[in-house]
Amino acid sequence: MLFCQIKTNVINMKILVVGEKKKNVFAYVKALREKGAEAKYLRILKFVLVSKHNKSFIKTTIGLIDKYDAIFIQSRTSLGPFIEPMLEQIEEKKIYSNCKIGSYYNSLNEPLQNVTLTTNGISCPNSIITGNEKNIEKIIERLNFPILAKSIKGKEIQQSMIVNTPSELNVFIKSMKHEMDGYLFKEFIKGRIISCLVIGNKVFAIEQTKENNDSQKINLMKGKTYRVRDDEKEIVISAANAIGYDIAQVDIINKKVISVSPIIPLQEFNKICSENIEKYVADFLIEKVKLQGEKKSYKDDLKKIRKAFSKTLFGRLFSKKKKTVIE
Amino acid sequence: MSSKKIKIEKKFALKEKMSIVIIGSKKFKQSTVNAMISEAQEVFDKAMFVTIDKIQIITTEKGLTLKYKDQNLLTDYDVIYPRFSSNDFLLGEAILKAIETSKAYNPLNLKSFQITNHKYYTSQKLSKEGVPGILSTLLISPKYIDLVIKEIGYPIVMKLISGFAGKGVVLVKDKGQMNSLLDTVHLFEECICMQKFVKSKNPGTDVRCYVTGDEVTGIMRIAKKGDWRSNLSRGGSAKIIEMTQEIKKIALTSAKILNMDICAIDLMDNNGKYVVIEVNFMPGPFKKYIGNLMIKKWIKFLYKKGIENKKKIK
Ligand SMILES: Nc1ncnc2c1ncn2[C@@H]1O[C@H](COP(=O)(O)OP(=O)(O)O)[C@@H](O)[C@H]1O
Ligand SMILES: [Mg+2]
Repeated sequence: MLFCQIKTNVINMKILVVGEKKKNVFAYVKALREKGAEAKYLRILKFVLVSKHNKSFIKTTIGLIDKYDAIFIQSRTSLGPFIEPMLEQIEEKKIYSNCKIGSYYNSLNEPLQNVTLTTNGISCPNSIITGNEKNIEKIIERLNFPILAKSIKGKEIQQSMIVNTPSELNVFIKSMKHEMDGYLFKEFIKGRIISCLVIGNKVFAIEQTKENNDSQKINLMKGKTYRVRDDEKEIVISAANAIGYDIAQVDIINKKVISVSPIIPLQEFNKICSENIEKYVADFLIEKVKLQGEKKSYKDDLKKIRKAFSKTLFGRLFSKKKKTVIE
Repeated sequence: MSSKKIKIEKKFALKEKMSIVIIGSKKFKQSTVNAMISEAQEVFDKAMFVTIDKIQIITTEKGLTLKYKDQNLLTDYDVIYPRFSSNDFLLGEAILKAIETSKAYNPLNLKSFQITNHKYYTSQKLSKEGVPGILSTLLISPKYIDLVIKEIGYPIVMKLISGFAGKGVVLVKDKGQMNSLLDTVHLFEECICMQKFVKSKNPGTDVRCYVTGDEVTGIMRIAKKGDWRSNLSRGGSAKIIEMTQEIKKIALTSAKILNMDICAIDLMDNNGKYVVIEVNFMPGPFKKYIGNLMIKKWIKFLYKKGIENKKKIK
């Protein structure tokens, strides 16, 4: 342990909470501060990315973000085109974040998200994605009604509707005022939606008290707390991870994943589950920084050892030799 | 006589049966596709072209299929060449993710599609690795534009991150122009990429480097008179040029960083030094100026890689 100086001391930790509205996320800042970390809130709008020759950095109204050990992001997925290059910089600077590179691109694009989950072996409702609405009855033959139909234009979902018969599907297609770029058809599974909040390996859940009927809109406040079973827990954690999140809301019906979102409805989960979710988030972030610190200090130590070695006579000889070899 | 027979047999044994599917943009150019298909049919044993909107991505418990008519594109071909533009973004991303599960050779990938469809991201990715580029910034709210101005200073080139063909590229000379512009951009609700305006020794020209594996082909593009943007779709002309080692190295390094075997890197002159402005995921072949040169190169390359890949997976 000669060279190891692990950052286990919470007092030294600097954690930045990034969101769009202070009132939605300030609870995390408070929880982190209560645990002794130095936490700060900053609006995502106050960030600017800069790319120069050989270096790139994240500038904000409070200066560079390099000094932070972790950045906790709670920001809408439509900001993906900003968040993605930012995540790349965050990862490079070895700062921990709850979102991984690619996660926001996954969340921005439902067809991509579907494919990503499927290729990771996570069970979702059967679906067909196509760019063409001709012979639509034939295309969706292999799906069972009811079907959740969505139209896509440009980078967004335009309309969505639940259809029960082929003729209803045709009505949906005909109702499009413009030419669409694509469609997503998903089997609509009847059942009670369970909304799970994944925080690392912890899962909190809210079950809807009624079956979903005509819409998949979820009202968490009308649900009740639910004890997830082990297999459900495994599914929602791997779904969150597959999309690229350590912390996420994952909704399932009959063990099939229907949605993954990086934004936590804090108030709702706190109320229905009678919990202090922000405390778990704070604990999780602090734990991650500790782990990251171990990794970091290990690498720093290696660097230090190399530097010290290169200063020795033998080291200098060695590096000289190496140079001549390269030349 | 017997020696002749052996030769023929050998030739036969060497020639693997190879197939290719080219998945094209919804807004493809008929002349390009015709040329690609006839070239591919010449080189491959089986060649098919299908536009992205004709494909179905099917996900079930059993897994994933990329269906066209009765075929599963993920298993039925040796080479898959996706040619998607930013118009195909949503479906394109999903299909590229699906192709990752195929054993077929694909010269491109999802990540490079995402990055090359994002002007700032491209710049960040390449500059960080030391590729000469343009000082670029990305911002969400015009309210904090001062953070950007401090870095760049006027004049500024403002770009929609996913624009193409010179659309959504504006030159802003000073603060006054900026203020009147920002009101409009605010409506887009898209993030804004701002770059330093590069003063070229030959304004209105740029160099397009087609990268095909380790090979680079350089084209000089000359803009229509009076336009500072050199996009050919805006009118102008083009010719093949000899490239310096410096340009070749920039092009090859950029393609390598993005993990792309086929692409085009656009460079422009910045006071005598070349810098990368943009990377094209689906470069047009400039048929009007250089005929089928690039199309032939691409197909030959895809065939070679297809064979190498087939050997590897065996
Ligand atoms: N920072 C810049 N400084 C000077 N000229 C530029 C700059 N960026 C782009 N241009 C000119 O504008 C043209 C279009 O910009 P580009 O980024 O390639 O967008 P597009 O995808 O629309 O072609 C370029 O080919 C180049 O001639
Ligand atoms: Mg261009």
